[in-house]
Amino acid sequence: MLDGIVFEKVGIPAASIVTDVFMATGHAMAQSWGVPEYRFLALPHPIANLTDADLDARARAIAPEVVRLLLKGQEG
Amino acid sequence: MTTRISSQRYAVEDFHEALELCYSRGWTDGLPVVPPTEPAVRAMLEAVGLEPAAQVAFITNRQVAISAEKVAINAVMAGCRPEHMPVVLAAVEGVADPRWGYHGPATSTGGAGVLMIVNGPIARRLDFNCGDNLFGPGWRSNATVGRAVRLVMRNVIGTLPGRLDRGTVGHPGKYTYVIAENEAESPWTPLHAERGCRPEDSAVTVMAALGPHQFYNQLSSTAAGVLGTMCDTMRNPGMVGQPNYCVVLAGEHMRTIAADGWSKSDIRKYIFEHTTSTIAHLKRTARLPGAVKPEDETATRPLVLTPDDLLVVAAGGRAGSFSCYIPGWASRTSSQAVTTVIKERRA
Amino acid sequence: MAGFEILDPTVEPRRQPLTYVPRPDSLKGKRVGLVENTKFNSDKLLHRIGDILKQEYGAAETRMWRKHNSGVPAHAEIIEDAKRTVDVVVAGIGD
Repeated sequence: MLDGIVFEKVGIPAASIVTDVFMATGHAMAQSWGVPEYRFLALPHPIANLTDADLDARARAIAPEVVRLLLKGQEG
Repeated sequence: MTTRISSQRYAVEDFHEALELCYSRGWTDGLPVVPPTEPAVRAMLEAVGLEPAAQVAFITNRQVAISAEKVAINAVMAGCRPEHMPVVLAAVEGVADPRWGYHGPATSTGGAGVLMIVNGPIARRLDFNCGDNLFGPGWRSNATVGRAVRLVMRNVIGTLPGRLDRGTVGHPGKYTYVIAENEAESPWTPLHAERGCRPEDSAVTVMAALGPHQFYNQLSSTAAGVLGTMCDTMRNPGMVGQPNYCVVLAGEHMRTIAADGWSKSDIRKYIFEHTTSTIAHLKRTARLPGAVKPEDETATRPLVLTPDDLLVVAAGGRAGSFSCYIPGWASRTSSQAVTTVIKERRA
Repeated sequence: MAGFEILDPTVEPRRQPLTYVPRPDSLKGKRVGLVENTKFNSDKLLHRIGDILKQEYGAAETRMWRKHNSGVPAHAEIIEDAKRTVDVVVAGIGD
């Protein structure tokens, strides 16, 4: 999650993705870095044991959100 | 001491109310804490000659500055005395070291604790336990110094369960996990001297660590015999990668191995050579991904990247045919053990 | 001890407002960087997301970097490379 903040700081629009069980952790990191309202994306956990078909489905489900976050950003 | 204490103050009627306030604000590890009053906190700071605002460490991955004042408050809460402050400070510096890599070990679902190994004259002067019931309760120094570091991690660095501490199962060492090496009875070079300190220095080594794994060998009269049993127990890794491991050799095993003329270097070499696994075994037991290929039956992977990743410590009771090994966290490239010299006074 | 004060052991994070980079209007022709955190399947999932961004949103190309480990942010070489070679970054994912 922190990578999104790091890339914003160096001038590259970014979208961070975590798995959903780590939302609280992502928010805590954002708070620690002084940007408690920082937006990032979540997909269902876990991903380590997914089949290829599952990975296809997860990518398909989150891609529109990735695009939205990249284009609308944190303030959109 | 010229600068003022800047932490927010809470007025309480009595000791009981202070205890309950600390609980209700989430400041404890689940056990009661000593109420941190200004005189107690100042005594901690005066013991090491630090101003309250002095920066002890900066955790880059959290953007958190750790002041001497906050370390002192949490050390009081843990039950430390002023003479413990130098050890607490050195351990905090250790976990803040980029080589320890704070975020990974502190936050990971892997649930590591902070193993702290104390060496040098301070270990004896402050009565850090290095013998019977090594990892168990009963010694103020072991109990409170480790606890102080954990309270700093919780209260200052925000390492809270469910938020920035996601240990899936964790382990009891996350309350406190402090031992000293039995330098008086050990035939070997102390750990800190092996890791670059002068023997007359005091030092604390911090290692991201899982719980201790005990092994039993009462029958062997040789070093290879004892360590062979340990390696058999040890070779199935509890982590995905190749982290540091700490090997704690208690009295009976220490004497058997030493009688065989083995040094710590010999011990490390033996362990490194006798804890390899085949890639096929690692794949069959789902520790590595992928289908087993014919060449995997003979390709091997060592438990650790190099023998130097094994920290060998002589400690534990004189009686009993039990010693233990302690797996580290993740991989040594993600977090490595850090040894910090303990400075009695900072100014 | 009657009526005394205790000191707060915690630290409040201080706000560090971020000036967010202007966003592109669309991904058409944009170069997408993918930063995978070394966790299992992170790379495979990011590759698939990258492919969708190319095929359906017009991104020109994707490239992937692997971090040193999941516990640290992208290291300096990745950041410098990204500044030169991509327009947006997608980072993540697994545990």
